[in-house]
Amino acid sequence: MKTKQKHTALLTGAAAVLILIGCLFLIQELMRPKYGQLNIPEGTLIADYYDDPTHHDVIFVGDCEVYENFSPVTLWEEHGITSFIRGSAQQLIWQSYYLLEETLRYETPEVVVFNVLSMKYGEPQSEAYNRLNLDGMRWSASKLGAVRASMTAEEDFLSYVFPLLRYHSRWSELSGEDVSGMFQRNSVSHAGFLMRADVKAAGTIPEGRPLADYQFDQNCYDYLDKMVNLCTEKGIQLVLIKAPSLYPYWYDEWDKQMEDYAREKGVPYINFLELIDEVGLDFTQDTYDGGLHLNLSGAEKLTKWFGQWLADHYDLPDHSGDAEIQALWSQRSQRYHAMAEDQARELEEIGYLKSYGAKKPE
Amino acid sequence: MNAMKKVLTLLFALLMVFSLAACGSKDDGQSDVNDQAPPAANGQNDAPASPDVPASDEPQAPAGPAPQTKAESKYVLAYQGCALPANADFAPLLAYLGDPANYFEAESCAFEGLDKTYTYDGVEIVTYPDGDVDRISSVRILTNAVSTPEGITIGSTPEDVTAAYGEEYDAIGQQYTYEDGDCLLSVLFQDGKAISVEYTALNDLLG
Repeated sequence: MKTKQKHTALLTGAAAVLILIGCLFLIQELMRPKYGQLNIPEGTLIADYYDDPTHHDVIFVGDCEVYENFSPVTLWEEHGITSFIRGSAQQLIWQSYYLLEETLRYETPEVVVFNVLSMKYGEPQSEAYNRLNLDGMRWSASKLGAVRASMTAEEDFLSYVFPLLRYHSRWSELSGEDVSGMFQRNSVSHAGFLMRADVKAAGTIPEGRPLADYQFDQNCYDYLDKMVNLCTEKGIQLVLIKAPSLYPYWYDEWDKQMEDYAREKGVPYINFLELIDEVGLDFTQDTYDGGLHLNLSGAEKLTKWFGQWLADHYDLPDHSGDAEIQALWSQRSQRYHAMAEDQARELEEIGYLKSYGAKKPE
Repeated sequence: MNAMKKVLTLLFALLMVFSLAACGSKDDGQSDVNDQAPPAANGQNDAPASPDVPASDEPQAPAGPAPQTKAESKYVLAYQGCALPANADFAPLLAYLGDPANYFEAESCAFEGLDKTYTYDGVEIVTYPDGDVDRISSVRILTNAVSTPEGITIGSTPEDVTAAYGEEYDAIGQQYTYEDGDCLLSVLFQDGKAISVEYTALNDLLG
């Protein structure tokens, strides 16, 4: 009789613990920010990758200068190259490294493209951007490394493991979208590309202010070395680029360091700021925010040029006989062009991209 | 059955306590990941002018009295008779200074808010968004037509700088920095001459 009572108590206790864990999990999912609904699509980018199980010839890693400036759909339509952008806002170099490390657990692309702007940041910068980069990443040793490398002094590792500890105070902000978004994520990217079709011409860009020290931090070089080694081990061609964004300012001293590094390591380095005319970019038409990021027309021009460069330099696979890949990219193309049409319609009707996070022009 | 009820009651009580404790706990200023605005500046706008802020001798001062802005640092540039303290609300100062020769704005990736750069004759002023207010994040002297209240400008020597501000500076390469209150004053030299003189606001987000 006593044994039976013991068993009953044990079962009851186990069930209660499971219920408690379940409740805490539900509360955590409820409180977690739903970036898509918060008009912060950048917060959804990292998780989008897990929805696409196919092989990619090219993987991009880096900050907004990749996810706003290159269009994988254009790369597919123009050159038959499959690609995905693992980009996110102010992605720091150690985040790029760990995202690449994680990506290579899923697949081995032929080419990895890394935008070098983040070499300017030698230390963790901002918790808010860390969250955009890390919250969407699946748990793995790579995420563990990324969190540890990214945390500012004020941050707490446990709050990444249990986001409820970080977001518990969102009670007062909860809305219907928080409930509907608990187990459903709205993807807005096109293989990691964020589309903006509006135009805001670039004006006079401020000159870079003189710096006391132009030398990139050793921490950045260490992670760049790790990226080079990772690609070498896997037989992947790494391509370093500086996207043609006019601001933040890219110093000649920084450019020389990247040229020297690329030469030493035997990897290509393309500074698109020097190729603006060759690519055909017109910063009165091809940017949506005065030269910081390219808009749809600018991204398509840049991608066409880069696609040709990739085709000329590397023997990338021919996917014409692969029905699964053809079907996926055909579907992706349709969605891409439908969004482009919708943005054109919205610009025509109300003058700015209200539904896509743009602010009404003053 | 009684045992089961007791355990369940205890667990749900714990759950409620956890939730309430979480809601009531201090959030260390991290209530929302969207909360990108730096903490409010220490400067109190519309307060009497700091006695530490001498007026400049700049020519072509705009008409009317300059806005009076209290500084929380002894390092403040005065331009066209108008003090430009770090972290100050720039709106009344902009109204006084008028349209800049060049204006540039940069939207932050993902989050709302614009960093704005106003370039006047000899001075560049950059602001950061703090809610609906644009506050001064940096003021940089561009030419020797403008100098600090202590007489330092482009072309000053390290000896000039230490004579004006003292020997207690931090050196980063060829740059001397002086910190006081919510402002960092930096003078960068090249070939023994200052090529940049800049006041930078100090706060949690701007570093």
